[in-house]
Amino acid sequence: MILYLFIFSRHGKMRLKKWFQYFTDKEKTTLTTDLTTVILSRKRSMCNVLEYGEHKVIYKRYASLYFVAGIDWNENELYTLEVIHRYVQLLDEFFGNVCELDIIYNFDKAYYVLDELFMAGELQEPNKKAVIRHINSFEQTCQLDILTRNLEESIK
Amino acid sequence: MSSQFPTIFNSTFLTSGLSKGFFEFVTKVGEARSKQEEDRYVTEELAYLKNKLNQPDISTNKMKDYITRLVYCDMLGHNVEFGHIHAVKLAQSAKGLWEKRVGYLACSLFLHETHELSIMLINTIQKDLRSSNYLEVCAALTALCQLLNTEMIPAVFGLVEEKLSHPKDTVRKKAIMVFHRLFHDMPEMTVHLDEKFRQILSEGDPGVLGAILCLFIDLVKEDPSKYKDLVPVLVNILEQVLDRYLPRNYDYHGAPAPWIQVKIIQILGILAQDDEKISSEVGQLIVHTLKKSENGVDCSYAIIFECIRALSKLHPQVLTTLIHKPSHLNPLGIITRFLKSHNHNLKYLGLIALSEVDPVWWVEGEWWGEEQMRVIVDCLEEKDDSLKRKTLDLLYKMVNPQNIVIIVEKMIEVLRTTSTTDEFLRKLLVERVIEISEKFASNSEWMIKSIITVFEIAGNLVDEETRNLAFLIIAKDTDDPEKNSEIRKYAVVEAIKVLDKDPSNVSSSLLIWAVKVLGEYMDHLDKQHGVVINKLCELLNKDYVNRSLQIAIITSLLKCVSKTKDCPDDIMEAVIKCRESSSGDVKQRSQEFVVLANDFLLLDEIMKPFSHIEEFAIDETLSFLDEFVEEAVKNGAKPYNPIPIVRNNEASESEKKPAAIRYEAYEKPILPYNQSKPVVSNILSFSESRYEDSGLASPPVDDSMLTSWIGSPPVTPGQLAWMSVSKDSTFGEYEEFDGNRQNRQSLMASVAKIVTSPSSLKWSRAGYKPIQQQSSRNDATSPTLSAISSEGTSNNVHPFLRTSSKTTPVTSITAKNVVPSEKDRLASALLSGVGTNSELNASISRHSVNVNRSGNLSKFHQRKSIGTSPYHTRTESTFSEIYHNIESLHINKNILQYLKPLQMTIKDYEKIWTDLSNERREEVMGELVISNIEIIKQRLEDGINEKTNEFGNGGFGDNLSGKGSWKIVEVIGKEAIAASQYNQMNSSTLSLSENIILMHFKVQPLHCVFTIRSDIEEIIDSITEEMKPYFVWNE
Repeated sequence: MILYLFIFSRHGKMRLKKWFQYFTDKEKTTLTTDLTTVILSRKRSMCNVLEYGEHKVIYKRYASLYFVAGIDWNENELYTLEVIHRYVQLLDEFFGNVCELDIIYNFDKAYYVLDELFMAGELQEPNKKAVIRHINSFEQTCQLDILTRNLEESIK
Repeated sequence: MSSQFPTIFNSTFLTSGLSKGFFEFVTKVGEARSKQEEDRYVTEELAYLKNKLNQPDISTNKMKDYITRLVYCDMLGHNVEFGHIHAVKLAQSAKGLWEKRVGYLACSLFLHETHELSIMLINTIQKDLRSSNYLEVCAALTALCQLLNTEMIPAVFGLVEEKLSHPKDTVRKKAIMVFHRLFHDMPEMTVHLDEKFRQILSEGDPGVLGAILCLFIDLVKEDPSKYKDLVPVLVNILEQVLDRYLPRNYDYHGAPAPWIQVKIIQILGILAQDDEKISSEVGQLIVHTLKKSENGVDCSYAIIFECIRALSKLHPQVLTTLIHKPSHLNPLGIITRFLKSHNHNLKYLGLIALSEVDPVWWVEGEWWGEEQMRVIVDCLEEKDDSLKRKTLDLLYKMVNPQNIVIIVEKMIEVLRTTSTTDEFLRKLLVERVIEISEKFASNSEWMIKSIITVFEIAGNLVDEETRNLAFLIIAKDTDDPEKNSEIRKYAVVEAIKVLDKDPSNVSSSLLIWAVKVLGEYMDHLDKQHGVVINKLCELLNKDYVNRSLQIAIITSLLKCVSKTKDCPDDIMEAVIKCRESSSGDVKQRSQEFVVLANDFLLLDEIMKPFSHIEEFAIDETLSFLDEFVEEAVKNGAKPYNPIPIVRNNEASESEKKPAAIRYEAYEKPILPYNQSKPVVSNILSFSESRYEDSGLASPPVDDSMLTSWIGSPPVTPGQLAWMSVSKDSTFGEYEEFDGNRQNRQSLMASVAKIVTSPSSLKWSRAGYKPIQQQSSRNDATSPTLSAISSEGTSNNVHPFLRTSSKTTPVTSITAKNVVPSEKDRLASALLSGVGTNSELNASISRHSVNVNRSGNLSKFHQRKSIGTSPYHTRTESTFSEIYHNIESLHINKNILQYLKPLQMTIKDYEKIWTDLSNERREEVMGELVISNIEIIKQRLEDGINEKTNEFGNGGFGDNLSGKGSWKIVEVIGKEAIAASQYNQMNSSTLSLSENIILMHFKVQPLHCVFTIRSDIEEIIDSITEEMKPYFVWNE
C-alpha cells in the first residue's frame, strides 16, 4: 500500500502532496523536509529505493520533478516504481506533453488524475485509456456546467 | 523563461474557472527567490483569504477559487486550519459538479478520518451516493475513501454495498476500493460480502478485477485457509493473462497486464505457503510466469521479483523439484543476472530477491557461487546507502557459525559509521548483532569484546531484552566446563575494566551488564573480591546512577554476599542509604538486602547459582495451592467464585462502537466474591504496634503539600509493602511475611517450574543442516576460535580467515585461490557454510527443523509475554518478582498491587482508582466528606500517624465500626492514600476480626473527600441501599 505521494521540484519546492494514511502534522513536516534533502542529495546512478524509518520510499526523477512514494515494508518496490511511471504517463496524456508549469498552475487537476489512479493507496485502474476517458468526461461535464451557468447569468 | 509562463488569456486557463487572483498568487510564489520571500507571500495571501472567507454571502464560484488557493497554501506546508470549515461548507452547499469536486478535494486533503469536521460530511456523501449522476457518485466514493471513519460506516455502508452492482464499472471499482479501505479498519464488517466478492472476481471485467485483487490480497493475508478454494480461479485468470486474452489496453511495456500478474502471484504465494498440495498446483505456473517475463524490462522486473518471492514460500518438497536444475534452467538463476547488473535498481532487485530465498537453496554449482558472493562483498563498499543496507540484511540472513565473526565485524563497522540520527537502523543493528552472537557464537572472548563495543557505540539504544540476551551469551553452558569458567573469568575481567573507566561517561546499559556479570560470576575471579565489592558500593550512591542500575547493583551485591558469606559494614551502610530512595523498587530491594544479608541460611535458599538456561513453564492452574485452599475451605472460608475477566474485550468493543450517549440506566452492580487470595492477603495482617516502631521515615509533610500539591509531591512509596518486615529483621518476623516458609518455597518452585528439554538447549540455527553435522562443525570451530583469541585478534590478517580454510575444506574456493585478494578472502569467509551442503535430504529436513525453530521461537515469545524472562527470575528471585509473576497470571489482584505502582500521574492514579471502583466494587466502601479542612490539614501535618480516628460509624452499614490508626502511604498530587486497620464486627459470631482498610483522601478547595476501600468480601454483603450513592464517583 502506498502511504503517501509527493511531487517536488529539483529546488525542493513542493508541487503536490497526498497522504493515504494518517500522519500527524509534525510527522508530515519532518517527513517532507527529510525526504527532500535526502533525495536531492542522491546521485542519479543510485538506486531509487530508500529505507526511511519503518517504511520504504521509492522515488523517481522526471525532468525537473521528483516523484516520491512511501510504501509499506513488504510492498514490491519495483511495482511501485512502475506505478509512479504510470501516473506520469497519465499526466502526460492528460495535459499533453506535461511540464512542471502545467502541474504548478493546474495542481488541482493533477490531484484529480491522482484520485482516479489511486484509491486507498492502491492502484485502482491499470488501464490508461479508461482513466483518461473517465477524467475527460468529468472535465467536460464541469465545463459544460460553467458554460451553462455563465449563459444563464448573462441572460438575466 | 518567463515567456513559458502561461498567461491568463491562455485558453486552458480561461476554461479552468480560476480567477486572476489565483493566477497572480501562484506566479508570485513561483517566482519567489527565497523561502522567506515565499513564506511572506503565502502569509499575506492567507490573511487576505481569511478576511474574505469570513464575509457573508460569498458566491460559490468565488468560494471555489478561495478554497483552491487554500489547498495550494496547505501543500506548501502552511497552516490553513481556519479554512477547514469553509471547505466542508463548500462540499455541502455545492450545486454544480465542479464546486463539489473542489470541495471534496479540499476536504480529503485537509481532513483525515479522525478529524471532527468529517462527520459534517456524512449527509452530503449520503446524498451524492444516491445521485443518479454516476460522476457525483464517483466523487463521493473518492472522498469517502479518504475520510471513512467508524462513525460514518453505518450511515453509508448499505449505499456503498449497493454500488457493488452498479452498471458503470468505474463505480463498482471505486466501491470495491472503499471496501478495501474499510477492511483495514474493521475486517468483521465485510464478512457477509464474501460471496459477492468471489462473484466479482469471476465476472471478467479486467478493470474491476484489478481492484478486487487488492481486496483479496488483504482477505487472504487475514485468513489463508478460508480462500484455498480460490486457487483454480486465480490460476485460470493468470493463464489467460499470460496467453494475452485481455484487451491490448492492459498491456504495459510489452507485458500483458503486469499489475494483475503481480497481484495474483502474490495471492498464490500466500495461499501456497506451507501447503504441499497447493504448492504443487501453482509451482509450475509461477516458474512459467517467471520465464515469460525474463526478457522483459521495467514492469517485468516487478513480476520476476514477485515470482521469486512466491517461489521461496512454496513447500520445500515442491521447491526442490523446481529448482535443483542446472543454472540455465534454474528459475533462481536470474538473480545472478540482476546482481551483476550495473544499474543500481537491478542490483537492488538482485539483493532483495536473494534475501527472499532461504540460504539453504543457494546451491553452489547450480546457480550460486563465488561470483555472486563477490558481488555481495562489493555492495558492502558501495556508496549507495540503500544497497549497503540491503546487503546488511542479507548478511544477517546468511549468518552461520563459520562466518559470524566476519559478519559481526561488518555490522559493528556500519554501526560506527551510521549517523546518530538514524536511530531505527542503529537499533536494528544492535539487536541483530547481539541476537546472532547469542545464537551462533560458541563462547568466545572475542564475542564479549564485540558486545562491549556495541554497548559502547550505541548503549543508549539497548533495551532490556537485548541486554539480557547479551548476558545469556556468557551464561550459556557449553560442553566443556573448563572453557566455561575461562570465558566467565574473562567476562568478569572485562566487566571490571568497564567499571574502572569513568562511569559517568559509560552508558548505563553497559554498566548494568557489567554489574550483572560481576554479581553472577565474581567467584570465577581468584582474588580481589573485596575490590569488586568496594567498587560496586562506591557506584551505588553516585548521583548519576539511575534506578535500574541501582537495582542491578543491589542485586549483584546480594549475590556477592551470598558467595562470600560475609557482609562487611560498608556494604550494609551503602545499601541502607538506598532505603531512602524515592523509587519503590530500589527501596524494596535494599530492604530485602538488609534482611537477607543478616540471614545467610535464607539467602542461600533464595540465591541459587545461575546454572544453565532453563525453560520455565508456569503452572497456570496453580495446583500447588490446592492444598492451601482446601485447608482454608475447611476452616470456614467461602469457595472462590471466579470473576470472568472481560474488561479488555468490553473496552475494545466500546471503542469500536460509535460514541453515543447511553440512555438506559447502568445495571445494578453484581458483587462478585474474590476469596481465593491465600498467599498474598496474609501479608497485610500486620498489627497496630508496627506502625509506631516500624522505624521507617515518615513521609515529609509540610505546608506545601496542601498549598502546592501539584508539583512533585513527596512520595513515600512501598512503605506498606514493607511495613511487615521493617520493624525488625529477625527471621521470625520474616517468616510471617508470607505465611510460612514452606508456603514460600512451594510458591517459588511452582512459579518457576522447570522443564528442561535437551533439544531446547541447542540455540544454534541448526535448521539448515542435519543436526549431526552441526555438532561436529561446532566442535571443529570452537577450538580454533579460542586459539585465535589467545593469540590476540588485533593483527591485520584476520586469523579466522586463516583457520577457516583449514576447518572448512568443503569450500573449494579457498583452496583454489593460492594468493587470494582481500575481497576474495572476505567473500569466501562469508560463503563458508552457506548452501554448501546441497544434499537433498538436508534441504528437506530444513522444513521439519524449521518447524522446531518456530516452536522455540513461540516459546520464547511466550516467555516474553509473561513479562519476566526465566533467567531473570532465577537469578534475582526477589519476592517482588514472585508477586509480579502472580499478577501477570491474573490470579489475584491485591491491594498490595495498587500500593506498589507508586509513581504515576494524577490522571493515572485517578484512573486506577475509578477502575478499581468499577471492577472491584466491593472495595469502595463509601466516602465521607470532611468539611473541616483545617483538621485534616493539621492531621496530615502532625506526624501522619493518627490514632483513634473514628470513621464509618453508622454510615456504612452497622457492622463496620472502625477505630484505628491510619498512616499516609502515598501522596500524589492533591490526593493521598492511607492505610489503616479497622475492627469489623461479624454479626454471626460477634467476634472481632482485624482487617486492613485503605483510605483515599482527596483535597478539594473547601473540603477533603475521604474514601474507604476494603478488601474484605464479607463487608460487601452488607451493602445497603443507603450506601449506593457512595459508589458514584464524587468529583
